[in-house]
Amino acid sequence: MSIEEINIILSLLALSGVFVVVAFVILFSTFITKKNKIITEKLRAELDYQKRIHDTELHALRSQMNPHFVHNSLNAILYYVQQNEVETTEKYLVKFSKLIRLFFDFSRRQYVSISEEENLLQNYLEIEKLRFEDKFEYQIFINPKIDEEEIRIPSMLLQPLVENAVNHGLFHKKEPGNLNISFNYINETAYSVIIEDDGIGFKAAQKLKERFKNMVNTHSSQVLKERIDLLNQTKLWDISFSMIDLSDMSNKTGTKVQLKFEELTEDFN
Amino acid sequence: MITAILIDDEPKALGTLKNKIKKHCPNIQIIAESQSPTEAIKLIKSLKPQLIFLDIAMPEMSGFDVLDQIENPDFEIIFATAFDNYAIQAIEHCAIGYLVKPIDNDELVKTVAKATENVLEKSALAKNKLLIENLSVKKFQDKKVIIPTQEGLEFIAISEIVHCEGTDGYTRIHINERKPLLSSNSIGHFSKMFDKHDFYLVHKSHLINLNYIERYLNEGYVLIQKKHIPVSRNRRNDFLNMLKNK
Repeated sequence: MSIEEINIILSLLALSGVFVVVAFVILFSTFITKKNKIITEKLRAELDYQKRIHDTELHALRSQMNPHFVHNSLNAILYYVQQNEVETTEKYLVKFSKLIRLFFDFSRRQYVSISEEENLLQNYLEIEKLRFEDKFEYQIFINPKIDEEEIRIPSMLLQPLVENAVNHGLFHKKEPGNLNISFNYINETAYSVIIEDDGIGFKAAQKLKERFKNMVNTHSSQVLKERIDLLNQTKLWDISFSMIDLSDMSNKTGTKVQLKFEELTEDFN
Repeated sequence: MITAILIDDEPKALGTLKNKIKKHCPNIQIIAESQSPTEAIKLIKSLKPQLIFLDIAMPEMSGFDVLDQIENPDFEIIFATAFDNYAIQAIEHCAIGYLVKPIDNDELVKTVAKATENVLEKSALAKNKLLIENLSVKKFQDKKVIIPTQEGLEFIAISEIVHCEGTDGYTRIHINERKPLLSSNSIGHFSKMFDKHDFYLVHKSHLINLNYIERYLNEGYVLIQKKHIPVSRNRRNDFLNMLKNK
């Protein structure tokens, strides 16, 4: 081999070495970009999911702090002020303040105990009764087999449904109405909640609104469905929901809402 | 004295209102009150009041439905509502009075004084009829608004309003192919009235109808019917984003 030939071989070797390095760099950088892309996509999906959770939670809080309810309640309390009924005024102002405190408190938590939820519903319904006087009666029944302090329920889920029953079902009924809320035992990790009223039924209530459309937003059931979807995605619960207009299956009127809850894990944080 | 009927389904709300009127509005003579919309319709027809206080959200029938059921609604109305932006906007379009619950005494006195003036003007029928008409119109730009001026009431289609310009608490309303109108309401009033419906407050004293924009200039102006209207610096981004998403 002449020196020239050796030179050529050496330079070829060097060249291929450079090629290998370049190829390596390209491979590495594509790998990195791909990895970054996957990470960003994952992050984005995560953020989207978080955003949806926050949106629905905000919506849930808004539906609890329904301005219509807040202002009408204060207006009813004002009546007692005008009448100089100091004790009644005090009683309802304290109840109202308790309720608002519970709204704020629960909105920061993913779940509450059944007894806490019962407390909120009772406070809420007492104020509604103040407004509507003897327009309705309510009962809350919890099966004694359910451990009220230990069994959990997602926060801010039931109250908007109960409010619907009062505002859309019982509100439009001429005679006094009834509202029954029951927590029913299924097994150690599962229970159902039934909210039943003998008002005019959600179909008739919807028809009333159709006269002048847009009057009230009717998306509340959609919001609820999305919230349940998201809760199911957390894999902490399995929740199913159904709503029946009682006039469809009997000669009674009213609305029956049923929710089934199953706790999938004890691993709540 | 002005004769009035009070209508609210909630007994306590009715009681509160009655007490307040008795205390603060000596020129109002309450001739009837009702908790039921159907009864209220009968009372209005038989007693022919000059003014009614009308709750909006009631069972069976809304306050708007009550109004719709009366053939010749030539009485002044003061609506009462706890909270309903959509309804308030509709009422404002027709220059009709309203009160939010719980009712503020000063607002009550002011609104009643305005209604008292209006009773003498006898403009109620046209305003009430427009309210009913507007409620059945779906597209916002197809509705009409009433603009009170010194000469009287102007009925203007919202789609014809090009631009509103605030000047010292007054508002000059520029209308397509017509002479501008001067309203004693502030620009904020109009901004609220047209909120979320193809109108945008590009500047603290300029509210524009987006359908009339011809061009946006990067120095921060929109061109509308050959006029340069400034877009204030801190509203530019928001404004451009909104145009893009429109």
